[in-house]
Amino acid sequence: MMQLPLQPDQILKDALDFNQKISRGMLTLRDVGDVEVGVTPKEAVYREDKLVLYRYKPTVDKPAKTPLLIVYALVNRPYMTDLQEDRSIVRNLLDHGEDVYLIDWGYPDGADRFVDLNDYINRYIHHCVQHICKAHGLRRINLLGICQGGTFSLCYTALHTERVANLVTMVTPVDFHTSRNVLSDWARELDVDLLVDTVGNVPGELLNWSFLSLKPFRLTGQKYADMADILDDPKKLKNFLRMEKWIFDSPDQAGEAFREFIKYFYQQNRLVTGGLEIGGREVSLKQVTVPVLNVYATEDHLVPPESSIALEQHVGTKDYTAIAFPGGHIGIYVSGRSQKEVPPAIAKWLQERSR
Amino acid sequence: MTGFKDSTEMWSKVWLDAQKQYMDTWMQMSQPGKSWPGAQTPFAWGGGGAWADPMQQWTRLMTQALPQGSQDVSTRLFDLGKNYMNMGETFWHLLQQGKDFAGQETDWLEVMKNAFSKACGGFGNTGQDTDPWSGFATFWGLPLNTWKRFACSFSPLPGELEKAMRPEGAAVPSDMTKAMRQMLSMPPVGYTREWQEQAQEWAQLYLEYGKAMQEFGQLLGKVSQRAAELFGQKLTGQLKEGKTLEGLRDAYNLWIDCGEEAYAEVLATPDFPHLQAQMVNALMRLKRHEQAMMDEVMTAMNMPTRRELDTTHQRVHGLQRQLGELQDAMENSLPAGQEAQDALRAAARAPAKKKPAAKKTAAKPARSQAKRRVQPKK
Repeated sequence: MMQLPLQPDQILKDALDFNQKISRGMLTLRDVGDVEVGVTPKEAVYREDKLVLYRYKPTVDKPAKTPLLIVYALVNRPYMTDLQEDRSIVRNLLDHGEDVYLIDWGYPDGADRFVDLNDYINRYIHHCVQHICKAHGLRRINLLGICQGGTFSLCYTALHTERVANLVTMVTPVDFHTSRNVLSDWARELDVDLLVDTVGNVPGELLNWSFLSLKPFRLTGQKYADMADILDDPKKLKNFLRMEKWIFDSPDQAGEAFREFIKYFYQQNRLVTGGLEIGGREVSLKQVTVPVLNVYATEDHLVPPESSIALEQHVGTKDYTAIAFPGGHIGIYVSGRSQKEVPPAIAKWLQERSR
Repeated sequence: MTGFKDSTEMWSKVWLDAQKQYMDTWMQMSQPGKSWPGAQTPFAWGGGGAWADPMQQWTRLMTQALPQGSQDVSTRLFDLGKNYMNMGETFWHLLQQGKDFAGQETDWLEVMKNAFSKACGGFGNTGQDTDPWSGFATFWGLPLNTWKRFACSFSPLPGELEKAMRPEGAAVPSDMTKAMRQMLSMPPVGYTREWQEQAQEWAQLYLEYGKAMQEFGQLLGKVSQRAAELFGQKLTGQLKEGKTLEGLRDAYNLWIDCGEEAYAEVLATPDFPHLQAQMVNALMRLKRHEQAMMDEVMTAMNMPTRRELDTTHQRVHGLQRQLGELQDAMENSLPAGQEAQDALRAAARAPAKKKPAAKKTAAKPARSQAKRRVQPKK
């Protein structure tokens, strides 16, 4: 005899409970106040167009002599590295003795439509590096590139090896044509010329749609069901809202840079197959001869681990280290485990090479 | 307002109490041994009802009272609440039908399949007549719905235009589609023939976009079909093992797992990236054509166009780049020039201390060379 999957009174009770949670939770939502992000004290030290270079206030008496510049992706905002006090890669790196700088790319608008990869890599990143070198009386600094910022950092290091002491890449796509690379599959048949010629800067909402479409049931449904369970806890709710703010805080993408990135990297995979030129100069990973630490996430649904792992085969350095973090693309920034493991490992690796 | 911080808190209490009272009544009616309350459900989201309507009113009221940053979240939360109620309603119907033959497995499985088929809208019907907004898109509010909102957000045309072009739930041409096809078949003649040609091309592109979107929607329809199949299979499997669901939340989580599993299967097919790209590209072709038409209108009115703005931005960007390169070149040459000057001064000073005469003779050629360098210009 088959049983009933649920009893009627159970359905009613659960439906009532859920709605009461939401209804009560609205009062918590109302009272929770503004959601602050980017908590570690910092100072703007350089500006160019929309870009702002920040230096974080060191938390140790004698920070590392060679500063570390964080280069974040153009997609989403860099405060993910400093989301809240107990979830901050920046804070952890500072506590482990690093002198940390970060590039905030800002929000491109129509006037930035023709900003291309040459501008991002040979102008913006290069000027930030020059500024830091000058401020510290150094010839070279350390780079930490995250996600697309890691790809940019690889290109920058290939083109300006003399300016980079050590390179750390985190969840960085290198080989864009590995299997299970859903974003890459989606980009293959996209007419990116038509897209950019039509919309100019690519709307952040389009990227949001793409990311939500990767796991639509979880990201547009279950996540909010889980949220209902924490609606009566202001602290947990605020953590959720911070993450929510970051997820939907997607700047528009400068049209030309987007066109080049999709075409050269996602569609033609030139970073590993060759033929990549930025600013009229060839970019080859063989030119990356400085020590490299490559941190990737084993459950990454945006940058498949295979895409990052491929760096070892193509990079020119003899000092290559990889760290596999058991987690996803977002977890590597904010999970409790990553806070305990990732920043200390980066700081240790850098300090071993500064002796 | 005794005991309440403000009126919102007071009204919240009133609403919560009313919800509870309403559900308590239904719960008493659905106790074992009581007669089943007919075909009615306590939820009735589709056609309003004693709970659905007040809930929607309450949502509107509360959302307005929330800070700006929380309004989007609350809207999503209420949407989820609605979906949750949909699920409750589906199970309610399921139990209504299943109570008569709970002992017969095949009948019971058929009832379950039908219940989820109905809940998923386009389930089992992914042919030409499928409404791309049905099933997967509306019942669970997923990618195509999100795409629709996005596409409308940067189109000058009203979002519901696409819907107006087809009758609900079928691909049989609507009056509007018929009118557009008639317009396409008219030969462009007369003084306004070029404008007519452009309008015809726009109509053609619009139809192509509609077709691309429908094809992608049909593919997504397969997800809901497969998800419902998986849901039925897994739920039946659990029941056969003597396990029941612990509650609606359990059912919801099982549905999410099945949905992601089904979606991953469809995602892995070559059709998915192909049809998705086809839809995006079709929208861009349409939008590009609209821009060109708009530019012509703006030009006729002597107003700035997108094309002109792009040219200006491109020139400013080119100038900015040239200026930057000049600045870099200057900065790079400064230290070298400075070092050379310092070296010259040092060289000039050093011999002066040791051999003053040499300094004198050394300085003279330098000056004469400078003169020589200047002379040709004269």
